[in-house]
Order: sequence, then structure tokens, then C-alpha cells
Amino acid sequence: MAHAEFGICGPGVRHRKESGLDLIFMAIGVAIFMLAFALFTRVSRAGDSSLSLPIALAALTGLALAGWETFRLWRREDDAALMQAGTLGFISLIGIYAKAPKGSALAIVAALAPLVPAALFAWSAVRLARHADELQRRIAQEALALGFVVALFAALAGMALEAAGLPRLDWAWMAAILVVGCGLGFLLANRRYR
Amino acid sequence: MKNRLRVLRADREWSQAELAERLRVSRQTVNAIETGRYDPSLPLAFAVAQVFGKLIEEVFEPDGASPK
Repeated sequence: MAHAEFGICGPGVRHRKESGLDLIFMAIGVAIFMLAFALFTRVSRAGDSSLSLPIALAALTGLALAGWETFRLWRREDDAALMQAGTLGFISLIGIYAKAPKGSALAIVAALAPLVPAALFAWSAVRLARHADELQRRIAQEALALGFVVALFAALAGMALEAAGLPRLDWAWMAAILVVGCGLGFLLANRRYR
Repeated sequence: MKNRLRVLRADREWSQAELAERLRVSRQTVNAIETGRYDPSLPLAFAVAQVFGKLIEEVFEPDGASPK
């Protein structure tokens, strides 16, 4: 029975060697998509329709590349790599709805887009937890506890700053803070049991 | 909790990875138990004892136990 070893962010989060290149290409695909999406919205606002199609195609190519690499990871059943891909996708896509025209179909799609990598993250995390042994589960538990505390403090700080007159924080970032908090928790718990 | 995991493993010339495979846990778990950073659950402690063909008290003993 193959057990995932602990990596920098906890149980099984160290991806397999062969998945490294897939993750790099996935990140390149996401970067191409982000860049093209930003350009597409800018060009759409400017009303320059001649550039819209090639830029939209570039965005779709980036998305297809990221999707293909994620599919390769899924086929390899490398849950650690899938979790990393999910995190990267979620953090990358979380703010893109702001670039799209408000109330447009594009904005709705962009607002819902981060749910796809979030679901990928959750699914691979559950699968990893199922295969984890008792120490790995304990480390995950400690990491989640720390992530919760970090997110709670971030929420309280956000509320306090908002009350003090600072701009309203985007609540979508709370999920990202939770993920980062968990990552930090994995790192600390992992060091304890190394 | 103290344990004789390292000694018993060395007697059998098993690597940590080999023992981990027999116990169906990760190598890190074996290492954490050996170094005393992690106390295993009762089922895992029984599994460890069984793998070495010993009684659980021959492998593990509480910190304050008097030497036999």
C-alpha cells in the first residue's frame, strides 16, 4: 500500500517527481489565461473587436493547457499535485470577476470559476485523508485548527479595520487565507513530527 | 512513552521503510514513533508488537516505568 510521504505542506502534499513538470505547465496555462482574460476585458471595453477573437483564443488555449495538465495529474492519481493545482487555480481565479463588466454573463462565469479548482482541492484532500495514516491525520487536524484560527483572526481584523473606516475587504479572500493558514499549519505540524 | 522500536528493527535489519510497509503506515510515522515524537494509538501499538512477535509491554513502556 503506497502511503504519501509528508511534504512541505503536510500529508502527501509533496507531489510525485513526474508531476513537477505538469504543475509547471499548468501554472503557465493559468498565467496565459489570466493575461489573456485581462487583455480581453480591456479590449472589450475599448470596443476593439478585431483583437477580441485572437485574445479570446489565447485565453482558451491557456485554460485548455491548464485543464490538460490537471487531467494528467488526475489520471496519475497524484492527489498531492491535484491539491497544489487546485490551490493555484483557486488563488489565480478568485479575483478575475472584478475585471469583467458588472452583471455580464462573463462576470457570472468568472465569479463561479474559482469553485472548480476549489472542488478539485476538496476532492483530492478528502481522497488523501482517506489514505492517510494516524500521524498524517493528526498533522492534518492540527493544520486545519491553525488554519481556522488564522482565518478567524483575519475575519476579526477585517471587521475591525472596516469599522475603523478602511475599505471593505473582499470576503472571497477568506478562503484563500484559510488555505494559506492550513499550509502554514501543515508546515509547523510537519516540523514537529519530522 | 518509551519504545524499543529502533533496537527491534535493527535486530531484524529492517529499514524504516520496510517496517512502515509492514505496518501499512508512512515512513515518517515509524520515524516519529522511534524518536518518541509521536505516541501511536493502541491499535497501531498492537500492530507494532505483532510485527515483532512481542507483547505490547515488551515494545512500549510508559515514561515513568521502573527498569525491569
